[in-house]
This record gives sequence, C-alpha cells and structure tokens, in this order.
Amino acid sequence: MSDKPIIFAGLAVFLVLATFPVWYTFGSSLLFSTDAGPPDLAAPAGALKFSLPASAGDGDMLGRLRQEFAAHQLPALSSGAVLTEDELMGVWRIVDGEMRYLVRPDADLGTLNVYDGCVEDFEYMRSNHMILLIEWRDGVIRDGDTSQVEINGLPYAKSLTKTCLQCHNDREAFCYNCHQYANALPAWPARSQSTMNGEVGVRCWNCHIQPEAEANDG
Amino acid sequence: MDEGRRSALKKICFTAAGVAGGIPLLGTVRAASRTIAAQHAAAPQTKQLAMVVDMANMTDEIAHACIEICHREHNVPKSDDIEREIKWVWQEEFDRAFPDQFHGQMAEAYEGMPVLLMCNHCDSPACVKVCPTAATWKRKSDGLVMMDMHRCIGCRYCVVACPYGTRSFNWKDAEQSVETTYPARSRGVVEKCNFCAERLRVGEIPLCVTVSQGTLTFGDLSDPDSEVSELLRAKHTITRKNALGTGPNVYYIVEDKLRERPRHGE
Repeated sequence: MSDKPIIFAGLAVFLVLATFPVWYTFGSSLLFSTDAGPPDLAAPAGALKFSLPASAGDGDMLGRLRQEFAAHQLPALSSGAVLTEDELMGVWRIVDGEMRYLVRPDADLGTLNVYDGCVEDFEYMRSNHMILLIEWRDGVIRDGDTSQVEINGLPYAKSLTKTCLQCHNDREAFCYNCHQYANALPAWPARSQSTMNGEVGVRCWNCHIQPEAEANDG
Repeated sequence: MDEGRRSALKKICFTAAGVAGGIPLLGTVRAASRTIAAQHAAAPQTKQLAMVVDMANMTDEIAHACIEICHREHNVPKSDDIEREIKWVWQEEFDRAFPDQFHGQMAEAYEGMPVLLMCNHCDSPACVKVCPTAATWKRKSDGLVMMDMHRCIGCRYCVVACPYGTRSFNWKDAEQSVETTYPARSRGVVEKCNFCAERLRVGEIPLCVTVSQGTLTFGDLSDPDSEVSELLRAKHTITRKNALGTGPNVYYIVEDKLRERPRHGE
C-alpha cells in the first residue's frame, strides 16, 4: 500500500516513452523545419515561363515580355509579333500572388505563340496526372483502346513516351523534385548502376525511355 | 449399440469425404469438356488474332530473320545461359514442339525439323488463370494474351503453367538498346511474345510477319474472309498440345512438307 509513489513514477515514465514519437515529430517539425513549399515546376520543352507581380498585371506587358526575351537571349520582338492581350490572358495563371505566363517563343521568327497546352489543364494535371496515366495505361494495354487525345486540335497517342515526355523531357525538373517533395516515391530502391545517382527511388526509367537521354543524364 | 454408431459415423465420414473429393473432380471434367467443345466451335464470336505458320516453305534463314527482328525491336536481351535466356520467338525440333503428334514411323522429314514457336495466345490461357495479380490477361478487344509489367510481381507461376514454354523470366535488368524505342524490362518480371501489340495499335502487322516472305500469315479468326480463316479452311493445320484444351491460336501447316522430301525408307 506504500507503493503509490513508485507506481505513479512508473506511469509517468511510461507515458513519456509511449508518446515519445508524437511529441518528438511535432517538436522537430516546429524547430528544424526546412520546408520551403512545393517546388516550382519547370516549363515544358519549347515553352518560356516567367512571372511578374500580379499588381503589375495589365500595364506594361509588352515591355515585360521584351525584357524576358532579352533575358533568355532571344531575338528582340517587333511590337506586332507579340501575342495580343487576349491571347496572353489564356496562358497566365496566378500562383502565390504572381502572374505566371507560359508562352512558346519562336526564336527564328521572333514571335510568341500561345503555348499548346497539355491534355488537361494545369490544376488537373498537378493533382491527377497519376490517375490519368493509369487510365491511359489500362485503356491502351488492358482494353485495347486505340483512341487518341487532342491537344490544341492535334491528335496525340495515349503514351507516356510518345506524348508526355516529348515536352516534359527532363525528369529532374518534372518528376524528381516534386515527387521528392511529396515523398511520393516507390518503396523500392533505384537501380544501382543507373545514372540517377541512386538518390531517388523512381523506378520508371529502368524501362521507359527518356527522350534525349544523353542530354539529361547527369 | 456402440458398434452401430461407430459404423454409422464411419459411413457418414466416408460419404462426406467422397462427396467433398468428388465435387471438384466433376467440375474439372465438365470444364475440360466445355473447353474442348468451345475449341471446336466454328469461329470465335469476338475478334481473335491468330497466326498460321507455313512450315513447308519456312527455311532456317527466314526463321532466324523473324527471331532476329523480333528480339532486336523488343529489346530482348541475349544470353548464353540456357536456363536464364529470354525468348519471344524461337525454334524447336518437331518432335519436341509437337510431342503428342510425333511417332517413330513418321516421315523422315519430320525428324528434327525446326519449327518456329511463339506465344499461342490461347483461347483459355493457363498463364492467365494462375496469375495472382492479373498482370497477364486475355484481351477482349482482339484476343491477345497481354502483360502489364507494372503489375507483375515475378512469382513465375505463369512460367510453370504455360505448357508451351513461351514465358521467360528476367533475372536481371535488361539494357535499353539504342536501336529501338520499345521499353526494356527490369529484373523480376515475366515476358513473352505479344503479337506486336504496340504495332497492331497503330495499324501495322507483327514484325515477324513482315520478314517471313509469306510463310507467316496473320489475321482475325472471327472474320471468315480474313487470310488466316481462308488458309485454315484450305489447309490441314495442327496446333501444339491440342489435347490440353488451352485452344492455341498459332496454327501450323505441315502436310506440304512431305511432298518435297522422300518418305522414310524410300
């Protein structure tokens, strides 16, 4: 009957140990967090992405575009060659209080074109690209679906290699940085002798071919 | 009294055991007879792609060309290790390819005659029945036995189940060849001939047919006017291990072979 202090002391030690994972994780995320938010994805091949403060929006768009072109060492644009404002409105979106433009510059002609776009819009692709890819795969391989998808009026095959990777041709920029941030990695390790440094466990490239692989293999 | 109960219990147990053991057997017999009956039905209702191999005109040269182009385009790794080799299309001697249709008194021409073999894309494929993850399946749209490497867990049950030896296991990662865009396979998945599904998708015929100089005919069995249907009506053809009831869809013309070569003992 005189063991009360020992029992309570024991209970206290037990509680501390049992809840250790909870407060350790919580505490370390508060103290040592280096979370800088989701990475900004690169522009697809052939597209130029730039941003300007939303407040600066409609004002000097042409001047801003000229600056961007100069920054990317593209030939200067004649004022007539730039997209109309209406066309530009179709290719911007506001992210983190900034207007971001996605345009396709034609260096040879000194023109800007509306970026062809993806099979679905940006928001859908950002959150659901994996569902779309699985639907394509199951449709094509499992059900023998030979239909094509249309992007900007042009037909494309339902194929990762033949369609997606033609624009999203840099796996570091399009796959790894975001998948790493989201911790959406397959559980198995990368192939040891592969060129992806073994740091990211995305196993897709063991089989699938990355276009222009020589240029992107680091 | 005890004796009576004891024997009654015994009878009950034996009856139960008999019934329990007999029901699956009944099912098997019925399933087997159904399969074989289905096999003899005239033409499939849905699209079923099939191949007819004309062995009379098939030479080693043509067969090697078929194997070469298939394995190159599909990134099939070469291996000298016969236990770990991967093959989609290959050659086998007649008596080993058709063990149930060979006997000692057959014409000499058959003995050691190389036969071009590939996946039979069966009507009721054994590999599909055993696959625990549905990584291989019978595609309804064209009757191909397809594979999804993403789902294959490498258990190799299908390798054991397939009576034709068409399935090969990847013991190591295959190197991607620069000559083709067909993806290589990674370690731990099973693969086989897919009748060039990736080419059929864009309206082309299988690669082996393109280099076969007319000895391979490819087409839809459900279409009575297709080239394969006409050929099958006109010629005597055999399939591999017919009695197993898997309903193979690669057919072999052999009869003409005899006309060219002397009979045994002549």
